[in-house]
Amino acid sequence: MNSKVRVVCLLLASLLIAAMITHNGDVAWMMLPFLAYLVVGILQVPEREMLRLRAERTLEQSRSDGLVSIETNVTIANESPAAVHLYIQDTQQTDMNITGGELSKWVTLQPEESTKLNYSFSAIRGDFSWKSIRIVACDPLGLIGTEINLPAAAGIQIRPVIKKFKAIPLRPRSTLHSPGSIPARLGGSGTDFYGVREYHPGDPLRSLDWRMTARHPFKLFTKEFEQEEIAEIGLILDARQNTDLRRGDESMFEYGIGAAASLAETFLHQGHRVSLLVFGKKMSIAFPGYGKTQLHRIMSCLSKARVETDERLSTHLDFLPIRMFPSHSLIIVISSLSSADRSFYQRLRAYGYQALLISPDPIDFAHSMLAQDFDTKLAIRAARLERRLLLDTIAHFQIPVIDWHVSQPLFPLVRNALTHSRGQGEY
Amino acid sequence: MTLRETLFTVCLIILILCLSAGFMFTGQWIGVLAACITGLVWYLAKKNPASWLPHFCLLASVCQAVIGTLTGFPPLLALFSSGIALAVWDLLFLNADLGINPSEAQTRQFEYKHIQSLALAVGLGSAAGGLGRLLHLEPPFFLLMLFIVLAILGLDRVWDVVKKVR
Repeated sequence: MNSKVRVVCLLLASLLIAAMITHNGDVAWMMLPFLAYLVVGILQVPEREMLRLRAERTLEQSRSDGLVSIETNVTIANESPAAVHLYIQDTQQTDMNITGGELSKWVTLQPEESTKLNYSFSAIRGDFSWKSIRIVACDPLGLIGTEINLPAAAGIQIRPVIKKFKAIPLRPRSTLHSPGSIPARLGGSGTDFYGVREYHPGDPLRSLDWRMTARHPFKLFTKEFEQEEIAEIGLILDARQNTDLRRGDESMFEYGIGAAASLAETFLHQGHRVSLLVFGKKMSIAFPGYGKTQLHRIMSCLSKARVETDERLSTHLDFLPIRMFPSHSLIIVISSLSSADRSFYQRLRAYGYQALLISPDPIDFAHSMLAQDFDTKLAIRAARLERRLLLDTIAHFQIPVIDWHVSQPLFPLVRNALTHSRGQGEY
Repeated sequence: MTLRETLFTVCLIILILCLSAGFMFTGQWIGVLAACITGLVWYLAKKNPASWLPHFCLLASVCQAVIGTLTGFPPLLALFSSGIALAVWDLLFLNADLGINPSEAQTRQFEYKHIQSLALAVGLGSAAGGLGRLLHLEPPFFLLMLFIVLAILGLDRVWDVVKKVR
């Protein structure tokens, strides 16, 4: 029973009471239009057994990158023997921004007739899926309806926008023994000259150092080249509540997502083995892998990443399952930091990981939103000091720290930090 | 202007005219003023269909018709006013429901069906009441009450049947 029926019934009851109190037949006659209204509605309610509807949803694409408009079409066909009056309504999911068309409409469908619900939407990123569409079959006056959820499944993944970085020359402490781009300080089959050693049986003749051999009669020497290998890289994206700082339409968490996506793409493009852990209320993991398939996995994780409110202790960084990353990996943590995170970085180094912290600066991000009075300025200063101290403490663990103002380009900062980070000794 | 908007405006004007004419007939100028103010509130309600204003306007218009009847209003005019008030109220919601939709053939078809059903309901109800008055059918009051209660109970039975069918 919808609000219209309730109001009409209430009026009928009121008129009835008024007629009884005043003993006036004319007031009672005034009930007739309202009674007729209900009767006409009730008599035209469609029978559920007679309803035969079919829905089909088509999306322009199943995967998309960034802020593009996605066309959605839902076709509803009437396979009943009689005409039906329908209210069709599709659900607007969180983070969906409708850019055109309509999400709901009223239609009358004749037998074998069909209608289309067309709309387009955009989203920064996300994993959107639909299982059904809500349809209310009712009388033409819209008084009494039968609600049906018709199956119409489809889904789309909108992946974060990737900023293409140039190749980042890494200097990790240890490498994986697969051919790659990082000089491994080992003689082997690379391209850069590494050294000369005495010939061993089995060495290819084309690698003989003829000049050295000429200088030392009866001895043969072989040129060695530096082996180039790949790195094992783990990305940790902090999705705890404190990262969800918003400035108008902008979100600091989205900057973190963008950074993780760009870094993953760059490292995978360079041939490294990359894994991802999104740490928040719900953890999502892309286990180590290579190539395009791994990029799809990582992008899928990043598309679904959400900051959810959770006050439980389990969202403390100390509970992060750090051992999912192979030992001696290079771990890049993207986190805006909280005061209790210090111990996590200590643990990271204690386990022997080489690490890099990219910390989007929340104070700089929120600065334009804050008041400019004396107290606020003082508070900002205190917060900056606290953050500086925390960053310095982490830097003391021999972890390079990037204090990232999100308006700055990230690539030069990461390149500088990673190129010079080989000197991280054991902690 | 769409058909539903035109009909809404026409019905609203008729409603104000009917109520004003009735109150003028009895010489209650304050009633005329109340009818005109209610007309303005109906327009406000059209702008805010999701609020309680449409329901309030319907209640106010029906109350005016009832008060008019009790103070010597022509009964047919009061009956017609309450029917038209119902039509205005329904058209307001129809306009709100279809307002944002483009004029698609199937939506227009729904609009025509809705208006047809509304016209049928208001016409039938008003005609039945009017016929009863014109034919000087003046059943004893308690008989009339009994008839209405039976009609409501009958409606309840129809509702039960509909629920079973659904």
